[in-house]
Amino acid sequence: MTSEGHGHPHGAVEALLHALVTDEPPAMAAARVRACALRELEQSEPREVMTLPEVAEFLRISESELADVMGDLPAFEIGGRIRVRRTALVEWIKTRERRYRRHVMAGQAAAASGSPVRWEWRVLDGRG
Amino acid sequence: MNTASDDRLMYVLRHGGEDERRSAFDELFGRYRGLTYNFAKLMLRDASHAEEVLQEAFLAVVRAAQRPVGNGGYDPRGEFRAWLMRIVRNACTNVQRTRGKESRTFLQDAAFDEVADGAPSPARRAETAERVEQARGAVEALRERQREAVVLYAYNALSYKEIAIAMGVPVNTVKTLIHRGRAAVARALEEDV
Repeated sequence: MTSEGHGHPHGAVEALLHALVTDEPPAMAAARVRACALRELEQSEPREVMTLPEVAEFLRISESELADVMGDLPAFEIGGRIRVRRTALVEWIKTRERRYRRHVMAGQAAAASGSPVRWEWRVLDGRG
Repeated sequence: MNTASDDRLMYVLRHGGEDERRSAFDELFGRYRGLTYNFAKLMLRDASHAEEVLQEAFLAVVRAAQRPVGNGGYDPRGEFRAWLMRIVRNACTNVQRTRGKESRTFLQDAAFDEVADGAPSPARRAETAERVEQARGAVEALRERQREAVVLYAYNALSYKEIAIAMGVPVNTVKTLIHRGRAAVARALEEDV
């Protein structure tokens, strides 16, 4: 047995069974389904208010890593649940980008003058 | 030919730009529309219901791609086909419930296929066609779970494990269902000779 498929014997019954599953859906129907699904795709605007798992996924970090920066996150509470506005999150990321850029530039300046600043990278990473 | 994994395509469907999402959908649709359509047609014994299942299933794929994991979203664990077939099974149940079990005869289905498909597929020619239709009758006469297992087995590309995940039963149950279902089909074919 292979990992792909069950490798059944290619007997007469198997050949007939396989012939039963080789039809293509009618072209008109396939085109209609495709159009319908693509419309759904286009309409799926990103949600304005995000949950914490959605924020973690958006940032491509784990939820426990997100917990490390929670204090800083532009979140709000509603009915005991934490939510984050997408636009606020994007602004927050921009602030962090500016901060990061300043540190990188400071690091480059320090490197040019020969002083070690590697610890700053660890702080920025939030995992130092 | 696109060699991206199904999981990768689902990721692109969620995070890609508009054109990337479109082509990811087209690739997934191309890979699995036949599986979905044929499974539904054999389970529901009705081509127009199968088209509805096709639509419902691929809308569910798009929606699952939009949601985060744990919130109804697709969980990329390398089991897309099995996951899709679970969706398709549910869609079959929904369509069956909303449209009711119409008892269309097999001949009506065949006539519908000729019109809808334009030309019969190569597998349906002359003598072979007759045997294929005998097999179809035999498969359609199987009990539902046996039929499901046998139809998924007929694809060959699906592993026993994938069939088990899709059906929500242990692998050994799948093997038993396939063994008995296949034997019943073989018996029916012999009797028809």
